[in-house]
Amino acid sequence: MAQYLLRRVLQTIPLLVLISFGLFLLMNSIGDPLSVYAESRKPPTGKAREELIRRLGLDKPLPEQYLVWLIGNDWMLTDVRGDGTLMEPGTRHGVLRGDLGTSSVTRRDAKLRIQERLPNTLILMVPSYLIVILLSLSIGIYSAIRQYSLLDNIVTTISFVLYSLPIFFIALMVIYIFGVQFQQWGLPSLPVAGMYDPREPETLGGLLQHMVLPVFCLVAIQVGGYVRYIRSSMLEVLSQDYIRTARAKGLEERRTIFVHALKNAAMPLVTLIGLDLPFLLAGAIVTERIFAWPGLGRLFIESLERSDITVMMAILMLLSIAVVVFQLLTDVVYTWLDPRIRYT
Amino acid sequence: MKPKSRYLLVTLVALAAMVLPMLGSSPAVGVARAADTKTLTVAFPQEPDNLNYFYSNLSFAQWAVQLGTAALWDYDEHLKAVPVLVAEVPTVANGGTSKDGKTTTIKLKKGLKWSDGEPLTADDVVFTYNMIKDKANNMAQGAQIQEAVDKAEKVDDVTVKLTTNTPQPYAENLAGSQNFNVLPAHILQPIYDKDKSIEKADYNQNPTVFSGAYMLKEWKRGASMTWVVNPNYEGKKPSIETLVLQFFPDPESAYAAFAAGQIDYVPNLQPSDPPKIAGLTKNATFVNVYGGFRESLWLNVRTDKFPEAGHPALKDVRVRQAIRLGVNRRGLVKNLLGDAVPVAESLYASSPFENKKLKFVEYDPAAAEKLLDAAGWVKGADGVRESKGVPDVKDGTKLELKYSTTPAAQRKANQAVIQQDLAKIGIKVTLENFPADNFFGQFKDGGITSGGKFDIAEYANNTVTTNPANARVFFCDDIPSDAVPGGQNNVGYCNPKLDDLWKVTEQALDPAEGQKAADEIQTILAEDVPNIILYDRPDQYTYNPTRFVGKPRIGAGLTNQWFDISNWQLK
Repeated sequence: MAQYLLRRVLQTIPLLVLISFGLFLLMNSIGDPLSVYAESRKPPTGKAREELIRRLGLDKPLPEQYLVWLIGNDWMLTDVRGDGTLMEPGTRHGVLRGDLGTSSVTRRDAKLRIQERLPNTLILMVPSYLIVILLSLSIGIYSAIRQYSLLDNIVTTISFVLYSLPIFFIALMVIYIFGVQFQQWGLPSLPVAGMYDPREPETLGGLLQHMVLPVFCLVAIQVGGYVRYIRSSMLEVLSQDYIRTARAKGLEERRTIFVHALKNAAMPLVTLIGLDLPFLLAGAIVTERIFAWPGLGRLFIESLERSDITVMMAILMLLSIAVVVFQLLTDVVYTWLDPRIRYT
Repeated sequence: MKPKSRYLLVTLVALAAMVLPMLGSSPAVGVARAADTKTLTVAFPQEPDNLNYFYSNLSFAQWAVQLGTAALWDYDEHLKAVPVLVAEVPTVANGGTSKDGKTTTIKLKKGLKWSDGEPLTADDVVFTYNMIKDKANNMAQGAQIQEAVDKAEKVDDVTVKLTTNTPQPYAENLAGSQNFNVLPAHILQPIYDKDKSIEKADYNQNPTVFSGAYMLKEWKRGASMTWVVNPNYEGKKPSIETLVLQFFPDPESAYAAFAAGQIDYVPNLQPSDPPKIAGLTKNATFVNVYGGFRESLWLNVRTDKFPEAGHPALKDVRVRQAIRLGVNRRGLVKNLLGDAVPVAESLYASSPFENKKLKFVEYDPAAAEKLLDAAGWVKGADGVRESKGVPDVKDGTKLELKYSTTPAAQRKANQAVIQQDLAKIGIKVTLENFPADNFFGQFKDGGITSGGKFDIAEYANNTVTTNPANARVFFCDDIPSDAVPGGQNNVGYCNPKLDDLWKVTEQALDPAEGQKAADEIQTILAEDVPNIILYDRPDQYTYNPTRFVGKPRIGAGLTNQWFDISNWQLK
């Protein structure tokens, strides 16, 4: 097992380099960073425009831009004042040495920007995901063991309706109902944006209030899919011979369901969770945007809108690493769930 | 308990966990805040990227900076200069600008202080110009100053002399609030001495001293900024003690928060927003201030020497005039925008430099058809016009035009209406929408506008501000090409007389002479029609009138919307 893990870790290094090159090409081809100034009040023209192109490094060939991003430019002389003379060594250390680069928009370290936003995303996403798992397990198991009952039909229908609604629609609907209409009707209303009320001290109660609407939306759109997975997986397992045997031998029903059936039905669920977990880090782009939640998903979209390639690359590489790591963890969990699986 | 009941219970508990916090939440935030007369909450659709004015191109950053940074002089809502840190705004008339236009003298008020009590003097002003001049600082703003100012010298503690290499009749281009803000030398000089650049100074993100009405108390990244009154501010102390800028990347949620009473003031509305907000709440007063943007149709008149020329019909001024006559601009503004913005005919519309003699060209499809007939574009069997005897154009060439713009909803609506209008006079229009980064992309990257890959393009530009010299969009030598990849004259219109007139507006030391040239420019453009202005796009703001005492005076976004904030009062 240890040998297997070591081999997998070593394999990820060239894989991540390849991914980074692909992403770099992609990010540099999605648009023109200067186009954001087109309808601004003072679009840079003439020399100012040339200066901007130089500052953003767009005057360099793409492979050179990638090389600087990867290994830095502190080992070569650079044109600091844009007058064509190479004067001083660059200041970039490169991603391989932990320097994710400086945002071309804010001139701040991309690493710092991610550090500021990642905890906020996790505060929103982890509870949402836990509620999704808890709810979908409850509903999925119940639907499987009481298949076609009235409650199964009702809950399945509701979860399907929510699953099929676009998140922006649900989000705007709950904002208008619980934020605007409740307030206008004189009822207790909920805050519609941010993590805290900026005029009040930050408290846990305030945070929980601000979480209600975005968490509700995230749960609403995700729970339906999970319920279907768990339900169908449980139904398949419950019809297996060993479950019938367990019941025939008089094993307690709860033990039959939760130990024998659920553990075996969990394999596809673990695969699904393994695939989804890395994206908890990415945040929920639409939800964070609509609810003004200062998370990583919103940072990505804001960076995209302003063609801040450095920050976008940093976020995408974080996600790439997370995908690789969680896939590895998923493989390890498989061996616990199914002792027949062996890695060499 | 039976298993069935147990599962039901678990499900109900989980659902209750989600629903109960809603029911148990505190009373409506808006209701609770009604008594707070000292805190103004503002929705900002974009978060400032920097709090050093010279490191951002973002309007929202400029507006945030202006809370904490006093300008040398500002402008009111009618673009009239208002001295702030200077004793007098320099002009040729008062001797502040020399007769040859190459020397500008800035005289500060006496006894100015930074928020930390340190004196704000000529040393700070000179330091700021030196920072702009040093390219190692990599500033995003200040290019005009960098090019024009040869040196900035301290004459005494309150006087600075600027020497420029070309005549500069408009001192605001060198020192007005839209181009210049004083940096604190006592904070930044040591950093510059150590790092040889202030680009990465922590001050840019977390400023510690201020000259404006407010001081930054806290910046919660991605969430909000809180500003409190600066006790050492030179002007009148604001009665609003705390000002919160809350960031709303999605305008819909900002408007919902405004309707719910969680926000008091929203700047930077889009033309189609006021009806939307009015539908949500009655407590909304809308204010239009001169913005300088004009939504326009740009007609590609490039000649064949460029890789992409427009439809040959567009080279005939009669066809361009016919298109203008055939578009019902008043109808568009009324039906799509609820008359929230004015129609316009000039690049200088609504500015103090507008040629008032020019009349708006009203919708007249019959006159348009006559012009098209006269130009040799006659209606074919399918109702679409085609060429007949037009010089250099093969007979039977259809009058079909590509109309391109960004995917913005308002522009798509404009496209649909204008397509129908033009169909009525026999012009077939094909609609195209491109993402903004492609539409406005660079010439070398095949951008739609810079590459001339359109017949009609719709976009806005900001051409005229506090003087008549800024409308540089049709210079003959500024047509994008391999030789001029950064050119701005996307339509390829060239009129040497116009070039000369623009130079007059830029260099004339006598304001009357500059205005005369501006008037003539507007007359020529109205006759030649290289672009058709659909409507003026003022800066639009909304505020909750139940929160304000009287009507707050709001400045133009291109200068400073907060110019009168010291007099804003909440109730």
